[in-house]
Amino acid sequence: MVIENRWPVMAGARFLPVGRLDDLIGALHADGRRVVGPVVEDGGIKMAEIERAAELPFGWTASAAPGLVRLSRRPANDRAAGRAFDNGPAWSGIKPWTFPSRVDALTVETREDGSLGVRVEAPANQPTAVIGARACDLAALAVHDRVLAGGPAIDPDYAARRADLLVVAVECALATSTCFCTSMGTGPEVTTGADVVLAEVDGGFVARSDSPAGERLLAGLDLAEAGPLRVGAAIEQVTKVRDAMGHAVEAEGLHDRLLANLDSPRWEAIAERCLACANCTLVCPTCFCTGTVIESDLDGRESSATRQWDSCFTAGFAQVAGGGSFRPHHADRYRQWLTHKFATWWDQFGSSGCVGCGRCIAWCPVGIDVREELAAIAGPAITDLPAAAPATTPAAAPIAVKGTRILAMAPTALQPGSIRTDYVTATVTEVRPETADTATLRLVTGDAALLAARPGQFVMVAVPAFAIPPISISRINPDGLELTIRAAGPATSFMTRLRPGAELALRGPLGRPWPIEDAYGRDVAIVAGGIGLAPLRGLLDQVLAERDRFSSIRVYLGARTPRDRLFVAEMDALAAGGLDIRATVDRAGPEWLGRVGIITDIFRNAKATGQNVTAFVCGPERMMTAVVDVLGDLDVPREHTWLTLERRMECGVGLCGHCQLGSRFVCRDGPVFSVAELGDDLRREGL
Amino acid sequence: MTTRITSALDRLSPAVHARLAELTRPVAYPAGAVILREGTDTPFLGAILEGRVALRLRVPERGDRVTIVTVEPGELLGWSAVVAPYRATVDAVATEPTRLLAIDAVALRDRLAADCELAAELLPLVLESVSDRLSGSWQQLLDMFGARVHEPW
Ligand code: SF4
Ligand code: FES
Repeated sequence: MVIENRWPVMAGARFLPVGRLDDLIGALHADGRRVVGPVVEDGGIKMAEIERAAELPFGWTASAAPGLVRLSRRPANDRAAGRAFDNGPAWSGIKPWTFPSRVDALTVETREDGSLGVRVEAPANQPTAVIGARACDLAALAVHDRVLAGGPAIDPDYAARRADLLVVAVECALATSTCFCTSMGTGPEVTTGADVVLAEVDGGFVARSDSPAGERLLAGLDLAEAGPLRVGAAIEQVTKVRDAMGHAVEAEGLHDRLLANLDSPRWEAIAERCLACANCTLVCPTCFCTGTVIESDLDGRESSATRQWDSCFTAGFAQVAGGGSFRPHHADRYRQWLTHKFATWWDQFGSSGCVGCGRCIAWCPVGIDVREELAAIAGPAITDLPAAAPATTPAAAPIAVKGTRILAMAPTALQPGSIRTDYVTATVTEVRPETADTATLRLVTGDAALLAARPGQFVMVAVPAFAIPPISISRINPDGLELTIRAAGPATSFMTRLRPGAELALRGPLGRPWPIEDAYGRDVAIVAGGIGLAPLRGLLDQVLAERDRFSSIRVYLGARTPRDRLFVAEMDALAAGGLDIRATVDRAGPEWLGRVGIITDIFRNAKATGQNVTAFVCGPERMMTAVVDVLGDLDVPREHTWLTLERRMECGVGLCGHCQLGSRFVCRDGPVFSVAELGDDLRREGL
Repeated sequence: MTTRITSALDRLSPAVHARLAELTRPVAYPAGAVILREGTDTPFLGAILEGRVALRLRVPERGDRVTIVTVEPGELLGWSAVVAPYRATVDAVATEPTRLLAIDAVALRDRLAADCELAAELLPLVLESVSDRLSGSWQQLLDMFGARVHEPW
């Protein structure tokens, strides 16, 4: 890719003498902004709030290598000794100012009268100006714009901070040995995202404006023309940086080459060194995964949920409450991280997730170098691949990356901003115990969106003092919803013991519903294991309501024991009314006269006549894969076999990263998927 | 999708089927009848035509029985008729009125030793039934529905 130099050689570039940096800062203050810039702290350079130019790291230089960052003072006789930004990227980047590690998200409280109060916290932002952002920082900002503010769900805190941000970027005059922005097509030239761009030259800065706000700022300073010599020096300087950096990562075809090597032995080899310490994700300017942390007052009447940085390297990241994690090994987590940054990010967001800033290399305590690992795992570029059309997103064109080809799913088709992130209350009118540990809550609500929920969708459910779990909707009534909840942890235990009159806060309806239309004119098979019947019950309601549109309807139910069956009276009544329902339990006492055996046994000895079947399957993942195998043997087409996946969910709307599976967010792109859509990912362990 | 094969023996070739017919008689049991008793000789290999047979084990401490699996039409009952020491490993109880084709165990064993073609066709069916029970038991051991299911908290 050819980076265009955007410096106006003839006219328009101005000169900001170093002595007038304070005027720039003063103008930003006068504009009501706090000003953030690089400062030396704890042996590193981080971005912090500054009052005066003197706080900038004048005279410092930096070097970096895998696992190593060193700051040193330039000797006084060094020509660059008077420079403020000649020291590589600040380790913190600007992320702490646009996407802080911790923000208040939601407060839930039980009021004096017993009703529930929910408050989505307004972003507590102050207009901010950043001085000294690098090209890679701006590329990362563009990535975050898409992830957090350009998709179907918008993070309100990020959007507010971003709207009030002004960026004075600095073009790099020095790249540390860990920088590889040239490989990722993001730098060192500043091409996008800045309001003002500075290039540090002898005695001051060549300055240009890249936005109307930037132009107002520069115009207010009343600067002289920089002149062709200084502009020439600025261009020469950044070109030298580019040439020196070389080409450490072959981005050409990297997406496909990486995904073709999910079984590389190298993953295990990295895992032997990787401490899963999460440093790389914390310094990465594009990592956006967060967790929701609940803090409660002592009597549990009020609690606040904060959104905090999380990392896919932590053991709990992909854990589900009853135990297992979907990525139990270090190798799984490293693979998730690397393939997300360099491959599946393209599928999800239409850009690379890496901007080449090299922070993960410098701040890795054991010095793992992504450049080296990528070369080892993905191999050299394959040059004879047929060129595929690049992915496009509705939001913007892809961030420029050198000729990367994309042969994958398009980013989500959902409209930007179409997923609601707020919470509304609903009142419990009935609590019906289903089994020893499961109850169905009947809720009423006036919220039109909730009432328009469709079978297969879910809601995030908040009550004071507990984590916020995703709960699938088990029935949609004219005046509200039913949620069938299994007491599997503190929050769900509490919910199953609620009394009529209690209130819940709901975010939703969320996720892709069962595609009932896919079964029109076909034979419907509904296959449910255990609590998996809950999300299928609403589908069954709808199928029965439109009975004439289907050739036949059959229901297959599996449960642990007869006592663990859900909606027993309802299912018995439907069976008595002639619906073909076949049930099996894993084990039973002598009083049970029905079938005993695993659910796939129901299909045993069936003749293969499944071509006209559309199957909807829900249950534990192990059961679903077994059912999928059996349905495949019976010729049920993979594109007509639908299942709903379980993953850890913290946000439910595609913002927190917890539920990722390959190129998908299970919460947003699913939870319902066809077996054809999932492909190999259905069975691949550790994804 | 679930049209059933009426008898497991229908999967045999007509010639073998005919030779087996000499050893086979139809039997009917009322609901509640004990067809096999754990630890006693297995009198026949059965092919269920209709009804349902529960295979039950005694739970030592409690004295009562647990149904491990049910055998349904189209499946075989009593693989222990051809596997030494030929003793039933479970109780088999009809939970519904049940009809089956019973192949006499002793005659069948003699025939298997003498008739290779018959053995080559029948034994895989018997093995399949053993393997189905085995993998079913393994899956039950996993206790999938007891472990975490759909909702993660
Ligand atoms: S990666 Fe590029 S833009 Fe970022 S600090 Fe290094 S040279 Fe500058
Ligand atoms: S991205 Fe947060 S739960 Fe899916």
